[in-house]
Amino acid sequence: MRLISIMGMVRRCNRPRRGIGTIVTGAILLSAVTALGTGLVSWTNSNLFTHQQDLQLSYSRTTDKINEFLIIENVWFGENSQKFVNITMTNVGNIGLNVTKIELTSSAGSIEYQFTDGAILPKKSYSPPISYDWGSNEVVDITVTTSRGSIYKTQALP
Amino acid sequence: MTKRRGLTSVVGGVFAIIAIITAIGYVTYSLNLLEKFNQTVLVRTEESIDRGKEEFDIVKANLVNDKLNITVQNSASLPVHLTRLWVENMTVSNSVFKYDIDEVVSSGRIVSNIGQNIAFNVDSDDSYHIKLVTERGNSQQFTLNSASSAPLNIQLLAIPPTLPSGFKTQLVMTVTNNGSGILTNLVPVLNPVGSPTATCTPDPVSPSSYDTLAPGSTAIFSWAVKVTGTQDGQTCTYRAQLQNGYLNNFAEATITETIVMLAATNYAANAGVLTIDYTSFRWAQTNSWQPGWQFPDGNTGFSITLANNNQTAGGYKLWISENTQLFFQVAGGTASPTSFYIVNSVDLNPAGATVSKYTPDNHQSISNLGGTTTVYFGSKQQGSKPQGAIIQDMPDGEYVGFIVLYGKFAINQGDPGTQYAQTIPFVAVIST
Repeated sequence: MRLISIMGMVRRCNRPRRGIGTIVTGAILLSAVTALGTGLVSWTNSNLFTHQQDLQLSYSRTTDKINEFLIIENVWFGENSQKFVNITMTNVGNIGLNVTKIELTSSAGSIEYQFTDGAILPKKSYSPPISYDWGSNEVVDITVTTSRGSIYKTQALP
Repeated sequence: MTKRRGLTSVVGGVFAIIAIITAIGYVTYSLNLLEKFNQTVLVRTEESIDRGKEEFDIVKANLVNDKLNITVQNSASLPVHLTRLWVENMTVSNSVFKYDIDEVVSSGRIVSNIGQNIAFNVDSDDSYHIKLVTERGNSQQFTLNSASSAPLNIQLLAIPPTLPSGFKTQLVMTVTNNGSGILTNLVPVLNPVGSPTATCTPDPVSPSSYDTLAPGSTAIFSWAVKVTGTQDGQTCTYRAQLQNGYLNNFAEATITETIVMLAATNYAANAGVLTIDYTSFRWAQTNSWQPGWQFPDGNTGFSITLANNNQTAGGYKLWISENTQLFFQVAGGTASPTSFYIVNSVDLNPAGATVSKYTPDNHQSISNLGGTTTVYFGSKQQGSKPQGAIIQDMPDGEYVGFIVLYGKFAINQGDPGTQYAQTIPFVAVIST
């Protein structure tokens, strides 16, 4: 009986044990693949999301800039206590815009005027008061810049 | 083992699918965004093209009840929506007005009465700069009553400037718009200048006004002016300008009247080199010269005095050729055309006048500078021909006569000289 028992133990010890290693290795591999895959997918998603947002922002900015359309409708020069120029700008585009800067250039030099109240809704006009020492028969280049960076130019003769 | 390796592959595959789906999503999103961007650009381009296509003209601009009455024609293929009217009074400083209007002009159509509904009254003495702006941002501008704002190119011409008394000349005024804006309501004014020595009466101007005048265009006004005078060289001067025009922007023209005098000094210019003294006309059939235009039919000789009005000095004369004749054309009845060639003389005779043939050729002359000579006509042919000494018969009939004169201008009879020929209206005669 004891012999049979020993023989049984030997037989059990001689049974192959590689299955555990494989399982462990498989588990490790699976975990690693899962971790790497998850990380990679997360990173990719995050990266793509960032790019998507950048793209969306860039698209919006560019589209808005393209849709922005201002005309310098009328320019006239006057003089009360001091000389001034009246520039009427009309937003003929389909989105609002913001006039931030007007630059007047003549042979006498160039002057910049900054504006903080230059928002113009579509189909509306804006005529900011501008004191300007114009000269008769002296061509004035007028450059209007919007917050989106669009530039509109015209010329006027007092 | 096989089963476990499959699980890893599945997991890897799932991740791969996720990665692919994510990438496809991103690409799809990007493409959609690009598509939208393209659409935006296309729409914007379309708008820009439409803006470039928009085209309208100010056809007419005048005043009705002191209000603007602008007529606009849309000459483009798109409708034009006029949204803004700017009025700047050029006469009064700091006087700029902005009016919102709402006028839609269909393609190819004309819309009038623009400006009639805005609260703006025009002072006809002032000059205005008007600007119409469309919804797309295009504009057209013109000046109203603007002849006073800048000098224009005005000219006044008398065509012809010199004319005989009792005739009409044409005064033509041209006004060229040498500015950059449309001129409107151009009305010409014509006034005499100084104290005219001739009597000049202008007819009404035609046309009475121009509604608009585009830059570079010319308006033409004209007056027919009748000139009457009593002496040569009398004049009248006119000044043409525009109503409410620029100060001292005018043009003047002088009309000179001439008297047509058939005197020796100007006869050549006014009536011809050779002329006849109608009162010297005589006819003869027997032994006497007779005045008058009616005589019996039969053999007849004629005499008349010719004058040479050629003003070339130096002893030149007109040497008369034997081909010279008095030619009668039939004016009525059944008579035939008849020629009476020049002869040396008509010899009076109670039995019937005869003629002496004209020989040698070119022997008779008339001096330049108003010289006169009486010449005789009466032979059937030239002096060198067989019937050169046979008096011509004047058949029964009514005639109109011309002198057909051939000759040459030379100092001496034998000189080659300069050939000259002329017909001179003569008289009408009746032979019964």
